[in-house]
Amino acid sequence: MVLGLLTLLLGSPCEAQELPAAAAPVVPIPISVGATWREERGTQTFGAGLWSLARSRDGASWLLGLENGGVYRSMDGARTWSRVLRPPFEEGEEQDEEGTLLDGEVLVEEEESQAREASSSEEDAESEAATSESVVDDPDGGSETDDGGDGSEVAPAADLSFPDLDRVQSELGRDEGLAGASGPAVVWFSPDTVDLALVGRSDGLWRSSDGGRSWSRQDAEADALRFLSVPSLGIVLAGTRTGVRVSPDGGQRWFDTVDVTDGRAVEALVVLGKRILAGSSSGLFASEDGLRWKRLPLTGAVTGLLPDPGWPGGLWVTTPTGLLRSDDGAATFYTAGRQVLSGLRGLTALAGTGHVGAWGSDGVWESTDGGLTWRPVFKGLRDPDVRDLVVVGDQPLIVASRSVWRLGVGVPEDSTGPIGLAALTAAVPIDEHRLLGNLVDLSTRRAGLDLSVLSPDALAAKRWLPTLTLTGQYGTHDDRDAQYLLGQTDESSSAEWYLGGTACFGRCHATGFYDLADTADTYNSSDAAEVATAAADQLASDLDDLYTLGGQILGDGSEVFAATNTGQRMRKYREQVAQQVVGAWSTLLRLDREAASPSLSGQISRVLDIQEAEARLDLYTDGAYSRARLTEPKP
Amino acid sequence: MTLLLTLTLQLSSAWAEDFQSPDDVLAQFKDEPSIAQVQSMVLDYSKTHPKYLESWMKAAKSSAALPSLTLYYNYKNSYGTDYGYYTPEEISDDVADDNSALSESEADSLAYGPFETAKGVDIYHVGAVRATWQLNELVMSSEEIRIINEAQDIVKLRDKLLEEATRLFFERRRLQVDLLLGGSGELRKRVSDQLRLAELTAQLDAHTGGQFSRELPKN
Repeated sequence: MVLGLLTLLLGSPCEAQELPAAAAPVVPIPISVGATWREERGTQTFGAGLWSLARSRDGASWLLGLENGGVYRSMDGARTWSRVLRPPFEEGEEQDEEGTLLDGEVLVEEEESQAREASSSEEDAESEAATSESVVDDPDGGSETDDGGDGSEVAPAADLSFPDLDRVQSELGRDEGLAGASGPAVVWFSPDTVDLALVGRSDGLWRSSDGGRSWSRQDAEADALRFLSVPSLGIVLAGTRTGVRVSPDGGQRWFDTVDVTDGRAVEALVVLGKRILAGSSSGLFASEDGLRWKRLPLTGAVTGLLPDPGWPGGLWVTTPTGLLRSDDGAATFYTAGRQVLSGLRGLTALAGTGHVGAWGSDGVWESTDGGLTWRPVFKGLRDPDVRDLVVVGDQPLIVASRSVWRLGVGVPEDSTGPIGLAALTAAVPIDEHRLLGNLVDLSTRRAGLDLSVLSPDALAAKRWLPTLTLTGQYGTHDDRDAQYLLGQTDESSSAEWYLGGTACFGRCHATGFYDLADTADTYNSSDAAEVATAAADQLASDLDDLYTLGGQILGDGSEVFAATNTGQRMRKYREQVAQQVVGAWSTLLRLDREAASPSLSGQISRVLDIQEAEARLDLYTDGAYSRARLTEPKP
Repeated sequence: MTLLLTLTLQLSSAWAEDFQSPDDVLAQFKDEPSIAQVQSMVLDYSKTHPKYLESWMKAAKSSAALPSLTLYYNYKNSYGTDYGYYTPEEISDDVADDNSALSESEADSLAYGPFETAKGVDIYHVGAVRATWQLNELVMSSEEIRIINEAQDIVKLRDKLLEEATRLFFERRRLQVDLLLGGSGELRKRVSDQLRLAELTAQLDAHTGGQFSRELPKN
């Protein structure tokens, strides 16, 4: 069977897709302009560093690989995650009995596998004699679903009696693959086969055929660092720490190719023209069939490869010390770019001719001129140690050391420059853009977020407007005076009204009344007790005017200060709201333009994603989006 | 809880082959509250509906147009009596001079005093009205700034609650779809999914004061 496979593979030269005919240049739109990284909530609780990220072809599932080998899955666009594959060895935890027994099953199956291999050693020996390419069949029966999968991919169960626990734990202690080194998990979704996912980590190579829900270990030997599907050959390649391995059946069986890549960590795999390129710790290799590899004239370590979609034979190569470029199909290389970009881990093509993104330990960079000049995409990114990047539509998501970050389009800092709002929205039809603008406007002018209520003009006018007091007063006075000795009585009656107004500028606390009755008695009083009473009244009045805002005590006349603080808080939150609206809108546009998944579950996932994005738009616009859909064309 | 599990188990009994389109699948949940209804429930329960904020803002704005009004009334009753002391001679002379009608004998009978000679009373009624407009408050008041701050906090709270409710709603719906299409999976996995579904329902209830469960179909 192995020989047959080899014959099949050797007889099928790589027919990688030809690059499309050169299309008209598309002006790249920089992703760094007006865009801010936003940390996805709920991604800070993994308990280990993050390492790799992958998205399924239909977008229904996402996988996240951790540094400790654990794997998480998201079904809502990389927002919330649930663990589907636990680490080979969880640091700081005692291995529980159930887990040990599960690993025991794996161990026993490995022993049985070794026994089977021993029994078929004669056949393998014949195979090795028949060809110079040694291929080792290494099936393995481990399986795992962290929350109990349906186990559809589990290898046929052997008639197992549970092994002795002590013996298993003793064995596990000697097995570095299970309990020793816990390297990172490299996750990958097949771009060709729906729901096919692979994970490479220290305890082997795991496969899922249901979008990452349940997993089975297929190859205990491989510690994969990179995967590549070559549909024209019907194979999947894995770059491992010890060379290239190949699978002819979508990752169910894996074979080691004995060649020049052996012993070298292969971190990059791409198809360039008719050849497959493998970047390793000690140079670049090429193959036409995935089995026989030749060394290319680049001997340094290679961490990433990216064919130039706009230049046949064009190739960017990332190395630990910088970026290289080849224009002639990897025949010759030269240093690309005017800047020193060290610590790069990968490259990706972005929309537009000559638009390239790179990421590494120093953050994310982009070039819009074919790699000649680079600028950082750093706004809002507090964790620049970027391990992986996935582009969805025009929106990149990155995995940094601690969390997942999403680049959202915000308000351009300088919309009047050559690269401004117009450039950002050039690709969006005007009706859609107008609707988006209206939605952002509505979302940021909701009650409580409207900056116009804090008008500087009003604050300035406030200083010049007085406290106006109008006082109306009416009083009567009846007087009777009897002189007994004279037998005379005098009576008088008088009335008085008064209307007055005062305009007081500045601090005004006058509360007294002019009282014609008290004029003679108390108005002119300067009694010490009355003065003290008046002072106490004034203090109480002043205290009434005090209030707290943002932890500070403010008083009359502090409105400008208070308004400034309020405005700053409001502005910050308005930016966040605008990003949320644009993010939901972008998701909606992407989903609307994305090809429908052939699977029913993929189609439902897409419908739910659309509904969720619409619900989020409604959330931030008080339902205006749903109302607008009645009159505006649907995006 | 029992109702929910019953419903979900009934749905689980359907086979994926019965459904031809996403609409067929999602129609299974048509009797459950929509996301718009759930968001409305959250707004009602949390009392963070925009209408409250709008009324606050209007009240804060219009309050400065009304003056602070002070009513004042003062009643004062002032009265007094005059007394006099006289010798008989002073009386007789003075009285005789001033009033010839008083006889000598009558004058002699007057002696010393005190004599109440005069009485007076003064009554004051004073009423006043004072209306004060803080004209500067018409353009921007400290009350208004305080209300804007509070409103901003309410908006943040509302957005946070609605975001969470929306996330829970769709996570729950995806899980329902998974259960519906998953067919007869492993029992442990199905039980785990059912518990997660119940947990999500409870979380939605926490955001809606139990209204979500009350709106679920009862069968």
